[in-house]
Amino acid sequence: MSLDPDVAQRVQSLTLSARRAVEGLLSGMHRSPHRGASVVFVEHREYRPGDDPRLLDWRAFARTDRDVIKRFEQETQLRATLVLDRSGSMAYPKDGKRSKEGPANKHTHAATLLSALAYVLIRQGDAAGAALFTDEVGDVVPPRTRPAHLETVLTALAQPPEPGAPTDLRAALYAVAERAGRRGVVAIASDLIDLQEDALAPIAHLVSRGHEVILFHVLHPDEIDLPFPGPTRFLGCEGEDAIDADADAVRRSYKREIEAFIDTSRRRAVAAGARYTLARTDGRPEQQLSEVLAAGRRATGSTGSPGSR
Amino acid sequence: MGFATPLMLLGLLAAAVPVAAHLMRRRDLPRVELPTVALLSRAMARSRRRVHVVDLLLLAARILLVVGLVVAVADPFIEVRLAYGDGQAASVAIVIDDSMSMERPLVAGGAGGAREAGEETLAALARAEAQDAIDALPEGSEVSVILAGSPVRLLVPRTDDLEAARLALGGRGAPSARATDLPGAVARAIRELAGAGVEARRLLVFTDGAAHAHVDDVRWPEGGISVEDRRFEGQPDNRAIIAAEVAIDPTTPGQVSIAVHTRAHGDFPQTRVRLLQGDAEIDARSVDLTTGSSRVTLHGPLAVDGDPSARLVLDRDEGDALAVDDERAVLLRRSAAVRILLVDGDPHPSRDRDEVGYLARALDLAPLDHGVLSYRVVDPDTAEALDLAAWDVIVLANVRVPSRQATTRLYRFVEDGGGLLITGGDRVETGPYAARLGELLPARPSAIAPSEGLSLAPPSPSAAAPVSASGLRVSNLEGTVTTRRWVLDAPPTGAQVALAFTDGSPALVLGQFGSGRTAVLAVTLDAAWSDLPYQPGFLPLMVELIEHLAPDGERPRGAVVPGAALELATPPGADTMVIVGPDGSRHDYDERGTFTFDETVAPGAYRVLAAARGATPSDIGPAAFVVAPPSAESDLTPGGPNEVPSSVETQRADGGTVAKRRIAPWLFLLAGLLAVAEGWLRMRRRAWAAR
Repeated sequence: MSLDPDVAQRVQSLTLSARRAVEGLLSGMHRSPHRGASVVFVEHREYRPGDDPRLLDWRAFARTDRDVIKRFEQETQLRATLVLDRSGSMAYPKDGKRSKEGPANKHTHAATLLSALAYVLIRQGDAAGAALFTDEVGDVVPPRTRPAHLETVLTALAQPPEPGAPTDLRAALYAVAERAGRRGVVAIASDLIDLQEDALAPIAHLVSRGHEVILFHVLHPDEIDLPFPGPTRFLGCEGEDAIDADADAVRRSYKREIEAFIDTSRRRAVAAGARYTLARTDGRPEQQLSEVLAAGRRATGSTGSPGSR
Repeated sequence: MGFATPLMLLGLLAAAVPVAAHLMRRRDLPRVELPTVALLSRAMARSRRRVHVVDLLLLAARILLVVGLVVAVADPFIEVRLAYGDGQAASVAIVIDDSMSMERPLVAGGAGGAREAGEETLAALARAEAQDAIDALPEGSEVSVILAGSPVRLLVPRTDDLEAARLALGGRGAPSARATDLPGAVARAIRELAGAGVEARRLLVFTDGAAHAHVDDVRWPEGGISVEDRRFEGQPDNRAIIAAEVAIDPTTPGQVSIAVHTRAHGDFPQTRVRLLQGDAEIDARSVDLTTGSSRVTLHGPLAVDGDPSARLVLDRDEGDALAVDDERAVLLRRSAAVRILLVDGDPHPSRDRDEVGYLARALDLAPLDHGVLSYRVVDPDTAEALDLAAWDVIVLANVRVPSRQATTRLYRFVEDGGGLLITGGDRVETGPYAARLGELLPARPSAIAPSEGLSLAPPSPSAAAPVSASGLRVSNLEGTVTTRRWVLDAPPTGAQVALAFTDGSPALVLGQFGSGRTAVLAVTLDAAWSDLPYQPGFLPLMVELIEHLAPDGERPRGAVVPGAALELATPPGADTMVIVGPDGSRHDYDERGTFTFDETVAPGAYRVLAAARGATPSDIGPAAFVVAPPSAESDLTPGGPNEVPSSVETQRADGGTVAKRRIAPWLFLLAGLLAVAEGWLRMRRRAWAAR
């Protein structure tokens, strides 16, 4: 899979800042807990109210007549694991986009989100890897910082879903936690269709191990709005029994259920310390990614930008 | 059951359409994948079972709807045997005998018999069958209902509102005590049918056909009206108090003696008759009913002031068909009997040869409904010494010319309101008789002449009705053979010839003198000049003649027949009158003068109270009266076949016509309801599924 150039172009401006300090093997733009080890000037940044006035660069002010501060903190590399759901339900709809302007296939949308993130990370010198799962973890690409590694990651993310494969979030995410190793970022893109009570319990486990968890809850508008007309036979994507229902009649109660499901997922994720984003497939991936990263910047006060280290 | 267009039933195959649609719908549902099908399942979990049931109900409703419509289009019908008529529109006059004898209960194997608690009566059966007959009439028919209890009443005037007529028959009042007037009712029914708006006219009669109904006197319609006579046969046992005479007890001051006449039709044991005033028993006597008729005397206190009413009650007997006639009201006061002085001009030890022997027997046998007729037989000499004011009617039977003194007293007696009957005989010298009593007599006898070959007849051929112009019943006298007679002069103006010889000369002439009434009979009262005493019409003629001659009393002489109208007058000094019925009902009259009171349906004693304006009304003892069932109604003996004459068009008694009743309208109605139910179920299904 290759990243849509249009999307790649737009996500170039995005930056990812970890909310927490991470350990990196390589120096990067992310704040390190090991202060003083290799402190160097990195960049100027516009002064914002609340910044320490002692950091103001008066020389730069004299030259440019702009209030900027100097960044002296040591930056470390980010180690990110991109976790993609490959279960059968992610293959919806099977024909991809229904129309040119229509919402994308869930898997495509999720892969796009994670690919963009990988693109950004590797371009800024962070390490990015991938893990694919259904009811267990399948292919795993370890995080690397080499630019050539981007293709490996994207190739892994481009693997189509396994038809009919069930989802076991709990088992898969625990397995990811075991493999993620040191502190880092774990970005998960899944429809979370695993209705077990403790399906999201591993998120708390990941957070407790120092990871910053980003959860993209990928849903197709059909799953939210149930737009089908009249009596319909609904087939499950992961081996569930078919259900005959009058969509018009059941729509109201279904929407109550799906809203409760989304709300519960959000509450559980946030409660566990993750950043949750409902990623509707009719939404723009860069927009959704931007919102997540912006939220991360707000939380950490990081000022990094793609391409600048 | 059948179908007018059975081929349409092939449409029943369409019943498979809903089933197929149901199955096809399930099979051909558009299939879509939905990753969140588990959530959909959860959303439907609450309503799934209910919706499934509704689905089945919807399927059933749709199948029934299709089946109902198809069957309705096939025009199904059921064959019913009509309770009456031939299924064609007709104007029907229904005569229902609602006399007392129809109050007897129904029993298995017969129309009437032993009484049991809660049993239906013939009257109820007649009403029910009349309702069935109305139900059997198609749209466009007319119906009228006439009640044959006396007096005849038009319960339902001729109407095409069959339901209203049916409802009018549904009411059930107190048991009737009325007499029967079947001839009058049939005549009234025929008049109703005269203006019928439907060509087919029918007369339907419900009666027990008892002898007292006089079915043979009914003038059935001839031509154009078909008659159905439904008889309720059977002769149950019955017993009754048929009369009660109250007289001042000469032996005990302040007491009255009550002669109670009972009659039993059938086998009854000895029983008891009790005299009750309120709930208090005043006297009681055993009554031997084994002999049929019996008479016992009871005693009670003379009512001077206040309410004089009391009751005579027979002890209950389960074998008795009618309860209404087991009780009779009496008034504990002097009797209102007609007092008759029979002056026997030719006494004889043998009653058959005595001049007034037959008349006395006729008075003995007079129906007690006419009130008590008490008489005394005296010879002419004794009569001249009596105080005539003690009598209401004097009969001079073959009596020689009275003395001048007696003649004067006779004139005064009649002038003051007494009645006088003078009958022929050999002892009467016509010349002196006419000379002395001429002004008193409505027709003067001029001679005694043979009358071989002459018989008696109504006064004119046109007067063929059994009641003469004078109001006397003169039927059953046509075969009377006479041998001698008085030749009566032509009656003066104002006199009435009630009976004539076949040569046209008067035989019985009625007249008026002063306040009294007079009559002259041109033959003897015994069998010397004619066989009149042997004729079946003799007894009613004599009884009615005596009643005609008797002065009008201040109150009814005997018991009032239920339903009769009474002329009552407000007593002097009173402004209001109140009549209290036996059930306590009050009827107020606030005007002076006479008025008609016809609320006499319930048997029993009726109190009459009067007062000046503003005062509290008090009993007028002498004005009280008794309403009692006619004794003939207690005799439930069948009157014989008395078939409707063959000249009259008759109809089968059982109706018998089989008619087709269409049920398609009901099926269309059912289909409509099913369609509504289907719509409702669909709405509910949607609502339930959305929950």
